[in-house]
Amino acid sequence: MSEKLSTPEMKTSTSDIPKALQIEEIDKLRTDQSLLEGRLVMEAPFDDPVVEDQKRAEARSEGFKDLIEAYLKKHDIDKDDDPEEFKEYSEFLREHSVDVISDSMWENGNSDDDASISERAKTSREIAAKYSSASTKETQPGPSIPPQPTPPATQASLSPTETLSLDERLEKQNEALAKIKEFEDAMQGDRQARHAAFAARMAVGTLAFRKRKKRQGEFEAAESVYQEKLRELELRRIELAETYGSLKKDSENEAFIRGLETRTNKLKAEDFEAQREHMLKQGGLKAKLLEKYANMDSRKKILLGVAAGTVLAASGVGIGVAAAWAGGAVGTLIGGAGAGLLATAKGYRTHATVMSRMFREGGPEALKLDRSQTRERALEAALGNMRSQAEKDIKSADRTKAAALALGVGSVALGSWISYGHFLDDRPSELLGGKIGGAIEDMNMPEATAPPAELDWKIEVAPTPEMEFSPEASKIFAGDGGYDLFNRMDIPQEHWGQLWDKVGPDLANVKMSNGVPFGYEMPNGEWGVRMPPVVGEGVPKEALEMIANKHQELFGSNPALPNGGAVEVVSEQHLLPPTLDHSPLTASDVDVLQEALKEGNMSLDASAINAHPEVFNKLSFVGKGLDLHTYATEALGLPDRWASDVEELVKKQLEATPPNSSFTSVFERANGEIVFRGGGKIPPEVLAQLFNSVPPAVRIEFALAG
Amino acid sequence: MDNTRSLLQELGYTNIPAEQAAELEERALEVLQMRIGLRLSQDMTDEQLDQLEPLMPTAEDNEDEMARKQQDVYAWLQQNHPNYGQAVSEEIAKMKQDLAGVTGAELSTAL
Repeated sequence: MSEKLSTPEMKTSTSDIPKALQIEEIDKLRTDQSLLEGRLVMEAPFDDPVVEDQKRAEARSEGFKDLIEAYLKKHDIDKDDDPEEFKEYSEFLREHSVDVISDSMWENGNSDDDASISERAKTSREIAAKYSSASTKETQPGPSIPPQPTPPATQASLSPTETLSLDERLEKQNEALAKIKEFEDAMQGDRQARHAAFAARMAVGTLAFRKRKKRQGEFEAAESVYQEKLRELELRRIELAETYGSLKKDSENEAFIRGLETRTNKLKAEDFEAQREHMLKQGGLKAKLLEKYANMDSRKKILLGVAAGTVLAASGVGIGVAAAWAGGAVGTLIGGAGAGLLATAKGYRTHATVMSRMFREGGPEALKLDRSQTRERALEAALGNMRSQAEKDIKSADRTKAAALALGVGSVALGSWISYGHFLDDRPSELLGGKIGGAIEDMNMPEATAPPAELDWKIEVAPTPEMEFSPEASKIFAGDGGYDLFNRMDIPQEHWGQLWDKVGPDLANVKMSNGVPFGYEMPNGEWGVRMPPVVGEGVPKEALEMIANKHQELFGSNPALPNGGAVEVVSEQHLLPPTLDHSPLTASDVDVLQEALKEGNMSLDASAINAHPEVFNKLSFVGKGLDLHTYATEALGLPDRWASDVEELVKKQLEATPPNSSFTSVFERANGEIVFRGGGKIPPEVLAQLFNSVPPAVRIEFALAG
Repeated sequence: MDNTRSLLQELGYTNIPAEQAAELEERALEVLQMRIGLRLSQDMTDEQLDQLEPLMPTAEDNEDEMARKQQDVYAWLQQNHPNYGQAVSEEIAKMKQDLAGVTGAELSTAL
């Protein structure tokens, strides 16, 4: 019978430890256990999470038992030959399985305790201690254990060093280190192959069973090769430490060995990032684009980026807009690149990946769901599944173009719907409560904002022209300040002060050809501009664009665009649809208005407007560019004073932070006035707000006056 | 009443931490975006898709162009798909129902 774990008589060196108990072999067993756990997670159909967890625990228990039995058999420990020995080894290995000791504890120990050593090291030492102290003792016969293979690359360099001088030994050490470095470099190919296989595996949809199995197999094969190399690397490092550690003081030895361990751990940690990078690049996706989208708060993607629109771009939330629409651009790539990749890159997790990630990060212990958290995870997993399915649906859509545009269209539809629903209180955090969670029937539906279906109107927007600056605008002379630049850009003098206050600090972000910022803060706190380093370089174009855009943001016109940057509507056939009733309000209309006001406690809301299109359509349709004051006085018939109240309301909504997108989609500033930006029907919510902005008494007067 | 997490509460999640609620909310919105987008785009004719495609912003667009194009897409959607709001509300209701089915919650409000 071979020696037992409890047998006190042990052998002389670590190479005499039974192979089944050698730490590298235990590592392999743990890897197999992890892969089995991963497969169980991947293959689990999403059902009741509690039941699923129980089922998985049972499958894990059985699977681990089989793995250990096979493992021991491989190491010549058979339960039929020596049941007692088999039982003892089995129990030991089960106690050191991944579901008992997490990977984190195994590799790093207790992270809360700086002095903690890893469970792996602890186990290794315990086993070594059992087998090392009896160097002179008699050993008992044991199973035939093949000698531990010594890494070939370092074997020569790690030959006995006792006869060498210190310098020679140091030289040998450096040579050995260089060889290890070479080996590590040579591993890169395996590492990349492993990451690629993982990325390919994760790109497969949940329901593509056959393909998933194939990819899983490929990943496991690549993983196995890589892990083997990683183990060899560790062995070489350990051997190096053991061989040359004595060249240093004890404390340095400890640090030396620790350094090697840290390097190995770092390599493993880098794998995650490298893997992510690989996934981002796979399929030809633009890594930066995806990164940008991935790192962005998705509420911003939807709300800031899509619903709020132009004004947000102008109000400094531009990055949100850009990234959101980068998302739209990503959508157009879906057809070619694969929605699964997109999901992975964006960090969304399907049910399987949620569980796999939990497993990877927290070890099997993380999968022992705390009952109180089970339902949250069920919801999380359900959303992951829904997302995965939605991606799959998009990917498999019949028409490529429809699939490619889906993400962008969806973000516009949802964003505008949300925006129109609660434009006065559209804090993203209230979306689920205020929009999705609230009663659907209470919501203002966006179709009310759309023109009647029978109207065949179209807006054709001309392409946005490039900003152009005159040669004069690019000139700059010593002693010039911002006002001089504005003057040469033909910006009206009355705008200079306000414009410089806003754009002056931004110019410090513009670099000249020598890398020096164009703008700078003077000792008195004012902002100034520098002379470019090269004669003839002129004002940086980026600075000119910044000034022009800021002017447009503040005053509604862009000095570098034709017609001040106003959107050129090529076709205006929508302005006054011929079928529209523009007749004055009748007495019965007034009755309707009065009734609506009475019912609404002297206020109108969108539902009242929607309920009486025959009345409110007469007030709702406007032409592009009509100024608000004229509309208020002539269409609504308000006296100047109350028309100003209406203007004040709109102004506040446009200048709010962030600007109210319901209003910015209807109004814009042009030449200092507030005008209707595109023409068409005023959304009922907006019309109601305009109406309610005047005092109740005036509303009654209005209703009576007709 | 703080209705920030009323969907979650409706689904029976009464003590969910705010951070987790926010994360779930983000995911819900993203799923909705995809479902709605696919539904709307599938309903469009090839001609409409052809019209819409050039309106979509691209990665090469600057922020102003992106914002302007976004307005164009919105205007286009209003005019060419006037019932899109119905699709949105139906998808939201459907998702609520799906989630309730998964979590075993009985929704109190009408869907």
